[in-house]
Amino acid sequence: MKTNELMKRRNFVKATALGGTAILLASCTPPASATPVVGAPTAVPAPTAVPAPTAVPAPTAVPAPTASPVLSTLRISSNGDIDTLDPHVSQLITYGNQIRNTVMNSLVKYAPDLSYVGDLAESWENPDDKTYIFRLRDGLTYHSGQSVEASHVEFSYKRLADGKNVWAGRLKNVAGYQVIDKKTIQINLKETQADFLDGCISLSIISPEIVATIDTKLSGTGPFKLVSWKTNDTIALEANQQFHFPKVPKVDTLDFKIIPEDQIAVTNLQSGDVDAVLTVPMTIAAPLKGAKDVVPVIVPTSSFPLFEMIGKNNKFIRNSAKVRQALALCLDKDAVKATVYNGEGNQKWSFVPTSHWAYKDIKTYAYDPAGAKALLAAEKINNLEFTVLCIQGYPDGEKTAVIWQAGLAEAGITMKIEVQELSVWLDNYINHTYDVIWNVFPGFADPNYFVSLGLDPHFKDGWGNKDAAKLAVEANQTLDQAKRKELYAQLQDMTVADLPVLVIQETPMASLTAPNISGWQINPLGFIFVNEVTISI
Amino acid sequence: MVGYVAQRVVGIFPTVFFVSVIVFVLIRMAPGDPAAMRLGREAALEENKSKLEALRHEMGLDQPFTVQYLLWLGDISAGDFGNSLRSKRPNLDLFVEKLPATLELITAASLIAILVSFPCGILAAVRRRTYIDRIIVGCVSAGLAVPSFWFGLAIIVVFSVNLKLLPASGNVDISKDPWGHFQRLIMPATTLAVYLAASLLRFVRADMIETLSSDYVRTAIAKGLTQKVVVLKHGLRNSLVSVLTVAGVEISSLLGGAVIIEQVFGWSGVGWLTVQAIFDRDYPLLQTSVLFLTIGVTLINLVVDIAYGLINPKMRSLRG
Repeated sequence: MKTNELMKRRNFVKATALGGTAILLASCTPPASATPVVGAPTAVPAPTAVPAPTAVPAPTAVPAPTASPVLSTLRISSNGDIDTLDPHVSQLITYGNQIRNTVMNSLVKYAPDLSYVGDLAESWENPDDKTYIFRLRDGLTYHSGQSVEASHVEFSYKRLADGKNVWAGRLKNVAGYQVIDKKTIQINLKETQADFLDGCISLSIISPEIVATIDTKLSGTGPFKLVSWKTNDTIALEANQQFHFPKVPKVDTLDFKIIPEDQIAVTNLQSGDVDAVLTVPMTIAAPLKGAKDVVPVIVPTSSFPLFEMIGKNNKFIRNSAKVRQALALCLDKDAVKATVYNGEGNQKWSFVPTSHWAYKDIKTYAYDPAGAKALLAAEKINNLEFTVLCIQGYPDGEKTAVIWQAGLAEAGITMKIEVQELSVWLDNYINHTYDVIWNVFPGFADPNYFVSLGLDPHFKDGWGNKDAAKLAVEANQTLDQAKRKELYAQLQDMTVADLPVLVIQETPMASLTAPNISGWQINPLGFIFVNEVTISI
Repeated sequence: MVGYVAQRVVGIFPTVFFVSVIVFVLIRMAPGDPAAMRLGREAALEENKSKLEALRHEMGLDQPFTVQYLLWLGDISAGDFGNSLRSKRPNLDLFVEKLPATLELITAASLIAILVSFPCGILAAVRRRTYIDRIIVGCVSAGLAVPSFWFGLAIIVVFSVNLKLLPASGNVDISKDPWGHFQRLIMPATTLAVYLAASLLRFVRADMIETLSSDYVRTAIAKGLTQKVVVLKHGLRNSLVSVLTVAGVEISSLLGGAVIIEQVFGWSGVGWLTVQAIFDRDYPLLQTSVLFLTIGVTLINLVVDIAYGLINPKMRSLRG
């Protein structure tokens, strides 16, 4: 949950601002559609829908389920607005949920088990470790009617690589492109890169023709077409009957209503003004279990909050792994799990998701303030004081810090909590001007995601473990999974021992839906997919 | 009067200029970087430092403050209010798109507040120290004390969740669904009106009590005029002068309250837009919003001053 919770604002004012800008991470594309269609389009015909006999299930052919799903409007409350329509610029998670996963497509996407399957690409092959040849599906078209061509992949990737955006980093290892024919493109890499496919998942393919007007109009290939975007108000989408996966979507129109405050969103759901709430904190979702008018959808995810420990402001913490270990001994993770996450989520110390093939279960740092005190005494450090920076509007961080503060106090360590507006927090985060800083990362399918984003800044500033840095590079240049697992196991050991980051736990994620909603999907990374949602009478 | 109005209109310019300078400087002195907000935490990566600098250059943030300000001043003089750093859409379009919703909300709230505060204030003054007065004064205290956010949430629960009488939030195009639009306006306007109504009511009551105790009112009563005539013709008109001044200031302050209400009720207006611009460090959008909001507030004050003069002949003569 934490990924999206980072985007959340308890404080309604902060909600908007943070919701718009917060935590800024890669999104992903929908998982493969595996469920059979249960639509019954006769109930509410869509007058503006483009007739597409091959894609739209014929009303008479659809078996009537026990409940009668109808084609209609799905109204979803979102606590944050998107920042731009441009898929090559926005990095907001909420953009992923509202636009990237509904309007856009990439070459590949995650299957439900987080393996990679084709999205726009029908197939791909690797003649060697540094070459990928993608073949596009037949008959792909944009919402504008234009055909999707292999050259658009090259155009999109070059635009991404040249842009002043975070996506460029995913393509820095590309040596060149070769459009073989209209449906086939070859991408050559400079070095072997294990997470190349993973990096492609958020890279939306667009046509060169739409770039001039992309800030106001967006034409993608996804199951929904963009109708309008009113800032801080509504994102209106309509079904794309030509979508390349049949029987999706199952509603005529999809509206995202921007409601920054969680509690207000819940009342909107209860009053029937929306059909679902995209994300809510566990503290709101858990008490609603068993409610008649609201269904909490609570899913364990691999996203995780953490304290980053190597800032520039506190030399004791920055320079001594022993001190960081002492601090870790003061974090009562059981209390955090029970209090902050309503007993949900997996505890862990490693940065790798617990369900991942590379995960190493390292059990250490059991809550022991006395042990922490002894450790600090051995280091001859008395009256240690430090400050933790949390983000305004993200209560989980502050609540966890309060629990940690109590443990630290038992060990004679004074910790202050400073809650900062996101932009201020971001400044301190970027410049490493902190003692300790709370942060949250989404789940990921390839460990290099966190290594490159979460550990690399510490490799370059403060964490002088050259072996770890070397391991990180080597692991991403190795394709053999068994070998990678071994390398990442060593890296996890080093990370947990040195504690450049103190992982708190994996967190659940929660949405709320009305009882007549089915097909709501949250994947293990914490991304939400509404393309297969049906509304029953 | 014409001279006075012209003088006041000219007086708007230095006010707007001063406010624009203050906003320009303060927002840039505040920690936070629009370019970093665009890149997010990946701006922390060494490989993205050059991108960060390039973005700052593209946004014009690498120029000295004074140069940035003069460039902005030059642009707006030519009618170019620039584009939002966040959405890249024209700032003027964004502001104009949101302005009607806020104006409508403030107008509706002001009407509700005036329609409630004047009759109730007069009634409380006329029935001073009766149960009616005490009930009204109690409501005033509650209206002043209750947080608008809480009140908004409470009426959503009552009227939308429980009674299902009104939509919980949002806005629909008035041309497409006038009734739906009106329904959605009721709760936000009422919530916004609560504090203003309480504030005005307190003032109307106090002023009316003072007026009704004055010698000329006693004289009017002694002459045999009815209570209705005394209160409405003599008392109210005299009280209007001071009440109007307070109303002008309070209605201007509704802009601040609208920020909260707009978000609670999903009534997307300029208040929400402006606050978001602050949190996003969207400097050009913030400057555009504040510029027009400042003009709006000064115009409201101007209208109040003009109305003040129309109601109070003494002021007209003083102004020549």
